[in-house]
Amino acid sequence: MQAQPKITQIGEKIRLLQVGAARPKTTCISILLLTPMRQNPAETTVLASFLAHSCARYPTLSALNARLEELYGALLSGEISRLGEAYCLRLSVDCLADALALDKEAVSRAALELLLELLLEPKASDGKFDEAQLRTEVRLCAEDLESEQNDKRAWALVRMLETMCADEPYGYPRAALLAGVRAVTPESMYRAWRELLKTAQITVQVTGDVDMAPLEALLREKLGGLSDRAPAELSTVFVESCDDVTEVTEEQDVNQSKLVLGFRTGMCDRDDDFYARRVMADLFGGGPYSRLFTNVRERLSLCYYCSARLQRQKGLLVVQSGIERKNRDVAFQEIMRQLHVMQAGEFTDEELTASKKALCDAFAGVGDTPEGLDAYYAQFADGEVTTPEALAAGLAAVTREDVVRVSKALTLDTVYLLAGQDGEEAAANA
Amino acid sequence: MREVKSAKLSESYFEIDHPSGLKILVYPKPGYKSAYAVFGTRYGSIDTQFRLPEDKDFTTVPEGIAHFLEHKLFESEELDAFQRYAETGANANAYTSFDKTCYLFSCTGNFKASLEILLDFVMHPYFTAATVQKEQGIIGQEIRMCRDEPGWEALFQLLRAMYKTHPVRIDIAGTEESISHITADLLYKCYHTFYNLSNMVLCVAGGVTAEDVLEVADRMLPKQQPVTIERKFHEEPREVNAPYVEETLAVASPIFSLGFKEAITTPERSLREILLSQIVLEAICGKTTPFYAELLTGGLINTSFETEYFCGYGYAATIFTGESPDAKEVRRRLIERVRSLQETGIAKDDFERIRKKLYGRAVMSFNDIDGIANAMVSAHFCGEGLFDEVETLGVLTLDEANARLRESIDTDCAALAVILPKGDDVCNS
Repeated sequence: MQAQPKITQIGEKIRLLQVGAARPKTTCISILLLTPMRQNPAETTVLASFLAHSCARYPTLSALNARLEELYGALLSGEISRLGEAYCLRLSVDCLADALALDKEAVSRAALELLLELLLEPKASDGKFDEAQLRTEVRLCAEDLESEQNDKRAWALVRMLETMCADEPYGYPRAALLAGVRAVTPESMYRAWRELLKTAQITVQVTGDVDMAPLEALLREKLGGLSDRAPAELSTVFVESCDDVTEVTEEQDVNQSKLVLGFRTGMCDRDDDFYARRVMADLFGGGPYSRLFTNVRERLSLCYYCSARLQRQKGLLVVQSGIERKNRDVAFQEIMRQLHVMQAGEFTDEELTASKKALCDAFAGVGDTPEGLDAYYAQFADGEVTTPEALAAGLAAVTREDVVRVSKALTLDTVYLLAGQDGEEAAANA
Repeated sequence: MREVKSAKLSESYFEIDHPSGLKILVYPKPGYKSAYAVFGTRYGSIDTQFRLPEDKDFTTVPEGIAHFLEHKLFESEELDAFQRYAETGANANAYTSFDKTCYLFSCTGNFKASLEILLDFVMHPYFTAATVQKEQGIIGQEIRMCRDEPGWEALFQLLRAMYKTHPVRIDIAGTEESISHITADLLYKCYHTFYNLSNMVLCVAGGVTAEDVLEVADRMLPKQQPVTIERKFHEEPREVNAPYVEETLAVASPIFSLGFKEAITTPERSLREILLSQIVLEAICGKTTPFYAELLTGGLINTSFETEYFCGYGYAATIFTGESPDAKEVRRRLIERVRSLQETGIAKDDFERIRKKLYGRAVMSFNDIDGIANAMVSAHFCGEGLFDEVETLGVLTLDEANARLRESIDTDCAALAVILPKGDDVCNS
């Protein structure tokens, strides 16, 4: 059975979240640091990679990886993601459960110690990050950002969001971020790192079957002792509706065109009528029982995928599909027609039940593994947490009227087409 | 019913020879709320030519038909499988690889009802000209989507460069042209050949018991006469088809896939050989090696660099993939590295550290019921047990690893595939 997570305050806006799992083979430890997106975006992006690749004690990647191999091949990662209009810098380790280590050593404590060293004792001196390593990290980050363009589905989404949220921090362009990444200096990195430790809202998540006392003591010693903490307020702009639709078409020499539609949901914060909206998004374009799958894909045979996703922390709903260019209008009209079906309540009770069942079923299994719990709770790093059980119960209580109400609140904001050459040829041959 | 135990992991699973002719493997995970089931057949994209005992000649089928069949099996004369799963809340899917096709679902409730749906729809094909035509549009878009994925495209460019005749060189989904030749009759022919229970396996892991699974299987699976399938053996020369190929795509940075084709005398690799090859790869360019650090800090690779020991029925290769501004230099450095390591051999300390890492990773993988169930399918089709990996890792020796390093990688049999950004000049060879 899955217990309520135990939350302990370690310092100002520093909390420890601890969850158990059934007979786990692993322990997952994550340190999540949230800062406003406007605060040092480029430096924060590079920090995620720099901090995960070295520290004072393990100054090279080889030395650090040798340490990870000693810890039974522990998996270390440093990532940056967005939670609304906050950056979430995440350092995490998945390691072997203590009980399974060959001589029963406390792998979890060693793993946490390593994470804290990476975060608190970076390869830096005299107010500067190590210059040689920084050059490598800048290159890696820049290449990582550039290679986003290689995944056309993801890239079309990036471009749609940049267009839709151009006047909000959320729409901060990749091009600007890339230029910023190339311009970071050893000094600016050091300052951004100090600011991160001072201003971030910090959550440390430990999931698995571990003796928490030594871990908590270590956290109190290392994070509890951080001086001059001044956590920044986190806020996200929620644009509740849109009056006029923006249409953008960008050409690329690709085999398949990508159509992305951005809707405003009417949400005023991440919890505003969330359960109803989550079910609505799923019924519209979630599983294979959804309106978009059964109509745009199965009935009209227009695409391989057509999905709708709610971006809770920003109050958006995004529809994505890969189509032939010449079918752009047919696909668009069908997506909008299905939205009207939702708004008119012309979906069946079976569809609604299927959606709720599928969603509840998915959340009920989250507690089986430390990995599942770690990923689940990370989405609540910006505030109050909800257990998977409570979330499933909230979804199960959603009614047909709720779904109709929140689907009526959707307004189309942006239609983006990454246009390939496909339709042109097909039209010419027809 | 036989219980297979691992003392090292204190875990176990059950192996059942079901009267229907199907092998069933059940791995109960007490305390888990979710369960995951896979119904797989040993039939993939490489099975393009085959013969049953009553056939005079080999049947040759269009490329991509195994994957097409996977899509079509979800349909029936009445409710399709997705509509039926909608009533149980299970999350269902399927996939086709080079050598197998698997149908799966995960759920936390209604396990038996979902298992019944899985067994029922896979056992009852329904194909018509109209439904075949409808799928051609959907799969056509899937094929186009994959053609825009540079990593996928680079892998298949590499496979075509390494292999002259083996069908591992063809795309799993086929081409828009090849799938246009698929008919309902051909689908039935493939179905009745490969979807025989003697060629299949059912694997379940999670919060269920063997009795739960058997109750449904007993009810749903009639006894079948086993079939003997003769798969065409493809004569594949030792040398590569082409040492270098390139293609341009709308990518931001160049992507490469480098492979060393292995000379094999038997069609399949043993688990021992596969594990040794994984150790060899770690020793050559694992993240702990100074060699990896040199490539990384020298700007030749980035964090997308990956390695894989790639093998299946009639093919085996050691593959390196990543992004690089100079893939040919990566090739030169890797060949040099392999040759020097073949001469000196892997150091004892490195071998032990790598083995400890692989042991940890293998144990850590036993959390994940998706991973367990899919690993049981693969292990079964290879004739191995699920726990053999952890057990074998403990007894491998440094001498074996060094022997494997020397015999499995022939640096004269390398092929390099590069995807270049459109508009870039072709680099000189």
